[in-house]
Amino acid sequence: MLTSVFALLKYDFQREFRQRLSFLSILLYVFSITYLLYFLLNTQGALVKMEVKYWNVIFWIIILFTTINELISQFSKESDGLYLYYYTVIHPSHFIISRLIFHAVYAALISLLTYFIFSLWFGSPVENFSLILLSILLGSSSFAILFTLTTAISKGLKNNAVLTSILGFPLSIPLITLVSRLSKEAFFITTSDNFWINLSILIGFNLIMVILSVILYPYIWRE
Amino acid sequence: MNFLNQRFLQLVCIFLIGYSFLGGLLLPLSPNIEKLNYKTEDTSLIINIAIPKLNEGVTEFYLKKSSLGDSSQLILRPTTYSKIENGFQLIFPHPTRFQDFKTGDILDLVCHTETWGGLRYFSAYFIDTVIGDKHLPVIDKMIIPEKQFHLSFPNRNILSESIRNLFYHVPMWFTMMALLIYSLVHSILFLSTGTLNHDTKASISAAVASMFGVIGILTGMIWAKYTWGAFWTNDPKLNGAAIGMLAYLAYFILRGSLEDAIKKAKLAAVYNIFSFTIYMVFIWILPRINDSLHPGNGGNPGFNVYEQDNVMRLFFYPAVIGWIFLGFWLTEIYVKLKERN
Repeated sequence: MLTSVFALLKYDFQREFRQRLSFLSILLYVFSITYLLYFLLNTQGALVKMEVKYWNVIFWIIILFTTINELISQFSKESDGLYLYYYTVIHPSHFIISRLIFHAVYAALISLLTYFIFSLWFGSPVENFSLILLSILLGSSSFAILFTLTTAISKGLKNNAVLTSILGFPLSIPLITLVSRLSKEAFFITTSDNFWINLSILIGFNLIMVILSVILYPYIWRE
Repeated sequence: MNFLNQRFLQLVCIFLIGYSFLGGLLLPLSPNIEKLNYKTEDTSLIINIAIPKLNEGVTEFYLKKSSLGDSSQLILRPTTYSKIENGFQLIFPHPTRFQDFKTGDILDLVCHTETWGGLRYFSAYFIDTVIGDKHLPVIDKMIIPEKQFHLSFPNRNILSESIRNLFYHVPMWFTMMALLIYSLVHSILFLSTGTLNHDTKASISAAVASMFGVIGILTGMIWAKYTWGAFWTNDPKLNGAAIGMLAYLAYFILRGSLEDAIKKAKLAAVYNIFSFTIYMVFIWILPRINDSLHPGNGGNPGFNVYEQDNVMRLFFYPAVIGWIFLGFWLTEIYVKLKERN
């Protein structure tokens, strides 16, 4: 099992490295959307010093939309022929595990870069850097895991891009509340009492989603 | 759920819903202190209270310091009291003259009645500064008399008559949960057996569950307007309900955008299991971390605190059972209609 997962992951990363275009296009997306926000929030030339609350909200919304876009473009890149090939050689749960890992890592990477671009324009009110790192890694990978399953469900349908967001958005609301509550702690030096509870719930959420994806994906694999 | 086709069970269902509906609307509320104004004179505090609907004598009035577990025995009796229209006028020596009370103490007004037990008006008087140095007269421990059985609902401040909504709002959520679990079970059964019959049952019970969810939200919104002051508040339970509704609407859109029956059934079953799990985690765990305005959350008393003599339960449990029956009955009817077409 491990060998096939590793082989798939290696193949995915190699392919991603060769075609740098999609990675760069996502970065451009982040860059332009951040600049758009900067442009709109910037009144009379002076950068409005944003409150921590709004910084947090806008940051996570950007990460959510970037993750969705990234996943849709990743899934639409793969042709049906490639899927047919996968179908003949790999076990579906190995396939979904490698996909989950790949998308989680990819989304985490993009989100880190988003954080740097974002703090370039808006400044970073972060006091506790390791905490924001943790919440970015956990949060973006949990979005990636959620939207991997919804894109897998809606792949091959007519309006799959719209359907992916419709299926995923209601379920992403609990995640985004938890994640933003976690990253809010990074703006203060001391952590509150609820920090460990939130962290464990978020990790538990991720585990549940991974387990469900691995169990359920073999059923929709053939479609 | 074929046993629901029996005429007897259908009649029981109609009877239970009708019983809880009529009983919930027709039974009166217990009397309680509904209105309270006070007037301060230099050495006395005059309190006018209204207890409409109480047609028996009051044996005892006093102000009591409200404390955790009602353990405080600091009690102040009125010097005189007289009956006025709909209530009583009580003249107390002014509580700020006693050094036993501390700044910031809150006093409850308690009335002992013959058959209704102790009526209580919470936070009747707030002590801002203590100016006197007298001691409270020593009184034996006050024992609040037992409430005798009356066929009436508890009467609470703010809630008052709207407490009856308990029989219409809460059973909707119980029914919705039962139907969603039924839908989940049929989705799992479909994935393991592949029979399309299970998929029909899963989708129809999800549809009926969403209908109950919408009714639950509407009855809750009306209740919230009259008790919390707004139709919608940022309460974890309300958010959970809204997210659940959105997720199940997405489920129907997913079904609608597919033509092939087997493919539709498979994808919908997978999404149903996934969204049900996340939804359950959301509504059962998050409200326990955040404070909710709902009874039983965030330090609010649950409904069983309000009712010591179980009259609410006499109507609440039949209502829950009746509405759950009705939900499954509706599902059965729609499944039959679908199979006939």
